[in-house]
Amino acid sequence: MGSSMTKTTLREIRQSLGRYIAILAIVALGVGLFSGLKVTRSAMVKSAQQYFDDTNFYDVRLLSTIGFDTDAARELSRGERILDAQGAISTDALIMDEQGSQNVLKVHSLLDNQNTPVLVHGRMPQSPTECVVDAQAFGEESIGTILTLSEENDEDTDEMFEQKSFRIVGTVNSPYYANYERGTTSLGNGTIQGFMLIEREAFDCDYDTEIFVRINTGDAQIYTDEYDDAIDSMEDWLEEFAQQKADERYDRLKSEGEQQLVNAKEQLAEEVRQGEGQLYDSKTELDSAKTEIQSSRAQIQSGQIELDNGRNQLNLQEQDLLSQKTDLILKKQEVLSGLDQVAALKNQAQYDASSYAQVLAQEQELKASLLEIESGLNEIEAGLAQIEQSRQELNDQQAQLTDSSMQVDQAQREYDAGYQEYQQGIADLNTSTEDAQEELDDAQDDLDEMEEPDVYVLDRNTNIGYASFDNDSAIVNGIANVFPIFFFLVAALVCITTMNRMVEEQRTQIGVLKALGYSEGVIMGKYLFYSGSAAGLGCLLGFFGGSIIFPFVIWQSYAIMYTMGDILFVFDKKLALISMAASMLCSMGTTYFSCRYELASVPAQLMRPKAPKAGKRILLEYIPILWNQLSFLVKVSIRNVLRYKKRFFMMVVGISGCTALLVTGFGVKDSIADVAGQQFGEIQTYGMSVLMNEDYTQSEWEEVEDYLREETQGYTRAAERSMDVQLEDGTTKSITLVMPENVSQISDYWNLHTEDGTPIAYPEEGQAVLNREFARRNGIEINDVISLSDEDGHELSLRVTGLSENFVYNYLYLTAESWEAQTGEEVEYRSIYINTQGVADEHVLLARLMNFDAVSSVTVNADTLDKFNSMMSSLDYIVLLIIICAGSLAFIVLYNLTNINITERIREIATIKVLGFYPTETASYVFRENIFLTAIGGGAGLLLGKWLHWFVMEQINIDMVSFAQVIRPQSYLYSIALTFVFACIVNLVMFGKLEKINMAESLKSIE
Amino acid sequence: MAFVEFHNVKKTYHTGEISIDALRDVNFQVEKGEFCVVVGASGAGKTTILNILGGMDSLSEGSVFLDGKEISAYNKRQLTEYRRYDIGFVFQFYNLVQNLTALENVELAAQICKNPLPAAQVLEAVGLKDRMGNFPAQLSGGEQQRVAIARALAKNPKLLLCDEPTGALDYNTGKAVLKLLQDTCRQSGVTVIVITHNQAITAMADRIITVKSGTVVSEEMNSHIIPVEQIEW
Repeated sequence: MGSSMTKTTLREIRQSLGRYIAILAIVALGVGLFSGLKVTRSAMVKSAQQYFDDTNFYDVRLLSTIGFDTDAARELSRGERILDAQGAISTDALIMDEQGSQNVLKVHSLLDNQNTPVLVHGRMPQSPTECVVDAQAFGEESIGTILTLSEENDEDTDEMFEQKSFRIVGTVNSPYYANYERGTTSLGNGTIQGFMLIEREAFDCDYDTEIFVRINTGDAQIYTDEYDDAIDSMEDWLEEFAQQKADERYDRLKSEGEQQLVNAKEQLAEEVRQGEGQLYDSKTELDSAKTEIQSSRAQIQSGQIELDNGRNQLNLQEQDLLSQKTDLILKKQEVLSGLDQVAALKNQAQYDASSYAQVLAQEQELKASLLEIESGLNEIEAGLAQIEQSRQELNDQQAQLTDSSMQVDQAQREYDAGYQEYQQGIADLNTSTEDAQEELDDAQDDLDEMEEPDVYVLDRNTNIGYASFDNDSAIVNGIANVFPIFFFLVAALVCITTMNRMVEEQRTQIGVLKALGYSEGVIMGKYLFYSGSAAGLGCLLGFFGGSIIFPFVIWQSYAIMYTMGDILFVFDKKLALISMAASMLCSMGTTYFSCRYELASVPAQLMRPKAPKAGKRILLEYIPILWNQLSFLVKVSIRNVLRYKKRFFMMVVGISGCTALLVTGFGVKDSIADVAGQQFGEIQTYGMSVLMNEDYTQSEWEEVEDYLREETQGYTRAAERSMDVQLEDGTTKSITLVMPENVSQISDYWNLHTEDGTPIAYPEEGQAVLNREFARRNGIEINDVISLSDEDGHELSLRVTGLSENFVYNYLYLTAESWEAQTGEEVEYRSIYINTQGVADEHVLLARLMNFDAVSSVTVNADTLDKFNSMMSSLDYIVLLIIICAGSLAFIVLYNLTNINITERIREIATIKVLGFYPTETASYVFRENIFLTAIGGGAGLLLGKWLHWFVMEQINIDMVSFAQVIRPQSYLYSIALTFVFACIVNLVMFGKLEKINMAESLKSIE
Repeated sequence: MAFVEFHNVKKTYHTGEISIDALRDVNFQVEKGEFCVVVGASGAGKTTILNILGGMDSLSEGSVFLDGKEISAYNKRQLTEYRRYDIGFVFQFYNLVQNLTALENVELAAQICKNPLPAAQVLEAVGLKDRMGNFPAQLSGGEQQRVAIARALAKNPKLLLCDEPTGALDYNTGKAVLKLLQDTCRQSGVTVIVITHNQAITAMADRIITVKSGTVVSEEMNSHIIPVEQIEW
């Protein structure tokens, strides 16, 4: 290119900077959007890669049904291509915080240099009594508080822990939990609140529940086949290893168990033997004691008899003596009276010697008898005394006898007690033997039932965070395929019209240059350079701008769901080349086609003015009723609009695109922002829910109920539990079951309705209603029969009778009867939904409720709503981005078209100015067309926007949240209003340009 | 006071540091109802006079009066109104709006006036009764110029300014257009100023103003008005 050609080209650019910048900007926008959206996925994956590298994220996790011995990991770490292998422990546990609120946490042992948590606040644990917790579930304020292992944990869980309470020293993000999902559990309310990391020493566990393995995969990038292949190639070997280790452990455990069982049996037998021996000894003792007692009894008895005999004899003797005594006393009195008679006779016989002698003899006789009697009496007295003495002796003997009898009684009692003890001993021995035997049998059964261990080799794809990041980041790619095509289309159109116009304007110049002998190539070069340089610069600007802005903004919005550090930017050379090629095609390609026709003409033809494009009647004119109603200024606008088809097409595409993008932007915001509001405003209409402890008692419930009756407008009980729905493709999806105690009341707390607000009847027995999005996503339709199961072996089969609108989480509603009929288990109503209308402060109510022992946790829906809203607010970035893009697009298109429109019609405008049109009239003469096209484009854009919004929302697919396909009427209004605002801004800018048009132009000849 | 008066009009264009006097000491007057021809060579300044008189350009010094009003003192808005209500323009290249039919082109001007003449009637008067519904591209040059004249006349202006009205027309058509202008002047009494480089046309004028090198070199009344049919060039 000659120097004067260069000069004229550069001057051309300077003089028509607006046009030049328009091409540059539209290309920048198109390339920015294309490369930005395209590269976002790569940038996100690169950032994720960096994050997983930095945190030494595991490659494979080995699990066995019986765990692994601790030396297995050590052995594995020496394996080929194994970078690191570490045994770890993890378990779900109910953990209580200082407020007494119980939640299920997943407790993991900290590893050295694997799955390294990233500190958010605080520090890492330095002793087994310290822990770090999930930053998603715990705020900075929780640092320093104590978490305690709940007493409600089962024994197995409890026994795993050496420490029972932990002081929180920090909050962390873990690569193991890269996204917000924490999984479900059979404990508590079924959801895992978060994770907790403690030192290995805090566990009392002599085995590993899992082994984390890092494998040398070379430079393989995550989410690539290369990486997957690298892992796959190791999996067989790992599985073999794991199986071997598990089998060894199994064999060892089994043989140990058997040995223990044998020992235990022997021990039991020994114990039984000993017990029986002891019992025999005591039996012998008891028997001899019994004999002794019996002989003593006999002796005492015979003694007693003797004694009684003695007593009787004595009594007889005494009676004998006493009768003798009476005889003697009688005799004595006879004697004495004889003596008296004798004495009297003596006196008489004193004088009669014979008689006297006789009397004397008599007296003698009598005296002798008296003496005899006296001595007899004495003898008797002595005999009596002796009897008395014997009796005394007998009494003494009796006392002795009584004494020994009592001793025998004592002995008998002792014997009885001993006997009872002996009997008890026998019973005890029997039961303990039985128990022991039972235990042994159980142990034997356990041992017999001990299944061959299963092992699992789980790669990263089974990690929810890792796997869903792959899907979620791919969403952006989906969107990337729609928007840029649109922008490139518009860019191409802008280039075509602009360059067309430029070439047309410069017909004469081209003719002159040709006449002067410049070759077609050189002349073409000027225009190719003009459009090419604009597009090239725009491409560079767009490429770098897009590669930075888009990943950054989208990363920010993904930070809601993922905790993965900072974004890394990717500048993809291939993408740059594609962008550049597309830009060049759009600019230089279209320029070539625009120029080709003109350049083919001979110079003379070029230097003659080109006949202006003829006016044409349009279809509408043939309907005079309508046509004649229009002022002819409107007529001319309509004719103009339809006169330049290309411009019309481009304007409508450009403006409709702008409006569509705006509608999409606002619509995305509506759909997302509305989710939580609708969930807690129209579906879960209760204000608060209480979760009761497991196995709370009726009286505990009555206390709570009394309180609720006093303080609230209403409440109802229900059961919530998590179950897996079996899908046709063999996978399962978790869903929360809701079973109300009282079906007639539930509608005050759960408002089941369809998308368009039609109420859905609560399902009857054997039926279920579940949320629409879940059903749609998993191909479930009304009248399908779905199967549900859970970890506890419950199984349900229900016919779907309704699909309800639901946004947050997935719910399936059924009656308690269905549950009870199919599982045979009673429903435990642990959830209480509370109507909090009229409650002054829900958190006061919350605190009061937490004071009840039976209350496990309380959730205020307003809090959840707040949390959701603040999460969703970060999506505003994307919305803003879309709005800015849309605005830029609209501005460029409008500016460019209006610019062309004006330059094309300078004579016409100058003429009407000469005719005395006021500036505003002139402007409206020109801009009416713009407004008209804006209206058509905007209208088309509303429809296009609705579709685009639908498409985008389809791509944004998050399991736990269903977005409403909602675009509020305001959003349509804002979109169209903003489009018009952009149009007006362009018109305002152009108004100045119109003002500057010199009326003398009207006098010039047609170029 | 005459209908149109130029008093010592000076117009200086500034291009960078160079100042060029396009007009200087321009003095002339035109009476109401006259058919006046301003003639001069290319670059003599006649278009500048037209621009100033037409309210399209301002002057540097002096004053211009039309019907007793000093248009040189008008502001932008007043100038627009002046063009709107007082002036009718006929351009060398007709400057019709391509997208409007003949009738609509006339209406375009008529609709912004206070007392417009009926567009159809004016078109009929210029002999285009049958071509009213045609677009400019469907009309010949002469017909287009007639539409342009009709457009100017429909405004019912005080002054009809014609810039080289025959410049783009062939000989006969040009004559016919001039005839139309002269007839209009005679019949409706509107003052017509025709600007041309064609000396021959001066023969049909009431008043001839000759411009040379930015100033009026002669201003004379034509005592021998020759009907346009007899003029030859």
